[in-house]
Amino acid sequence: MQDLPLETGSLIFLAGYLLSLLIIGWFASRQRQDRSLGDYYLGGRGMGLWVLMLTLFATQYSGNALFGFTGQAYRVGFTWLAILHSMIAVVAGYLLFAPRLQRLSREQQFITPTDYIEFRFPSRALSALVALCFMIVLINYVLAQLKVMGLMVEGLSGGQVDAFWGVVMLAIIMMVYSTMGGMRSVAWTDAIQGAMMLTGFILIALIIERDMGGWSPAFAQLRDIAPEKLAPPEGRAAVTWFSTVVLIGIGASVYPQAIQRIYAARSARTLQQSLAGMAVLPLFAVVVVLALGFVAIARFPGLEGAAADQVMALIMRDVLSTGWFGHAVVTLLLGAILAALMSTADSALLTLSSIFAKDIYGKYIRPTASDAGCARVGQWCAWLILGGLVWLSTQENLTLYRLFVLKFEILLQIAPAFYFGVNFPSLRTTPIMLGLVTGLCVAVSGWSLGWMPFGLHPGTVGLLCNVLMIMSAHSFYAIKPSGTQSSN
Amino acid sequence: MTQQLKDRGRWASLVLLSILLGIPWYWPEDNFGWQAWLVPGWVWVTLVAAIVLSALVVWGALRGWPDEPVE
Repeated sequence: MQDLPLETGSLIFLAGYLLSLLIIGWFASRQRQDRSLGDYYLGGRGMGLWVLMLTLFATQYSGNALFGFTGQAYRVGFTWLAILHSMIAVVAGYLLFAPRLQRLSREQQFITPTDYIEFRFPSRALSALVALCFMIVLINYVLAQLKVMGLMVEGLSGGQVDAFWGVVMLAIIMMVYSTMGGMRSVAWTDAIQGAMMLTGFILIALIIERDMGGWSPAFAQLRDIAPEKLAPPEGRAAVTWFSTVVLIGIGASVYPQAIQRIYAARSARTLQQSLAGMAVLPLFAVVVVLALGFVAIARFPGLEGAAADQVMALIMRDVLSTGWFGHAVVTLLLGAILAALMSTADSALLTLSSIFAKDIYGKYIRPTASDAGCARVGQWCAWLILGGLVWLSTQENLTLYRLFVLKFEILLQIAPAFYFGVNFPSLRTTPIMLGLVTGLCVAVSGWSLGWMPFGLHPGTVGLLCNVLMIMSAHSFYAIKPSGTQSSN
Repeated sequence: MTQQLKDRGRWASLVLLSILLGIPWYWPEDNFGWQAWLVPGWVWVTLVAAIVLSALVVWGALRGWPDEPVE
């Protein structure tokens, strides 16, 4: 990340923010009712409207949202507006399964996303495959956040702190508070992050208008410098637009950590109201983030590839030079970015540890283990995984957007199990299993080969194959004479 | 009747969503004369479509779902 000449006051603010996370963790640990998995991983299923809405928002808008979205807007121009529709489509996607899932989770006391799969489609092989997919996605997710954390600390310290040690420091803070308070501390820190991020976006939009020449001249300059980036998507690009909305809209709605938040909602009404709020937030958050990327095309021409992910930092450097107000806004935004990275990583890590503790350790390794024992194993597992990922985060060489897409390719294949499972009671296990395997094979092989037929993402093609396979297998079982069907 | 309305709303939302996603196909040329103000016309149409979609989803969350009784 670009070096940002912050003043001592700003650094004290950021240090104070990090300290406050530990206090939140301590406070959340005091709120724990018991040592059960439900209390640790779902905050006792008592999440209220504002915390739920902001934690869902924070789950959707990670470090990728700030650096990856602006970077992609810079690279491809206005066709990246697809992400705005995608983020609203995520909420539309929730509406198709979340209310029923929340009700079921109350009745059946689900803890992990895989619990629903196992309840609805009683097959060990299927639930193990889904758990494995979720773990791969979550590891990818944490890795992406850690990479940005390292770059950020390096940039904020003017290169004095190495990216590796920056990640280590933030990872330790993150693990301490999430180990102490579980979902409560994670959700509370998410809520703070969401509020800071929204405020920061609105203020930075005002600063660009007031102190940096305004939006209108910036767009006029953009028309002169790069008119091709204002062009609407045509041909393959139009198909990619559609594919992006499907990929992110459906994929992000089955984020495992988001599903746990659905379980954690205090009531169905709380969930409904939170989702309603979630549908409006992209109009503020995503529009400003994209506009920043577009403005940067004219302001910082010539950045290519991974370098474009730095445009957010470059804009903040310019905002810093506008005076004390700009300094305050950048400090707030940096705090929000730091919070976004940490809260996304801790949410993913918490879900990862719950899947390991309940779906692997509690089922296959030590089925007799108590809830408290499973929770303890989950905590240790989170530390170990994080240690490995911290090391890995300094080894990889992928751009943020590529990391971002990979997880959707997999998530998209799991989505039918939730969407169809909740809405079609007659659907059996075998069609879902066949669909998932087919979709995964197509999506992952397509991704590794860099294959995009007609501009469609491999994940979208995989989903099409997945759904076709489910429909075919479902029809096959439906027309089989009675008595020849398997129990599934 | 209420259930029918909910189902209708659900399908209407999906149809509208599909239409909104198709917008870039129908504005291949920026011939609306809106080019003069900040960004091309197709961008404004897309933004308006996003606002409509958002409003529809809010309506869906508060009125159209869920079909189980609210606690």
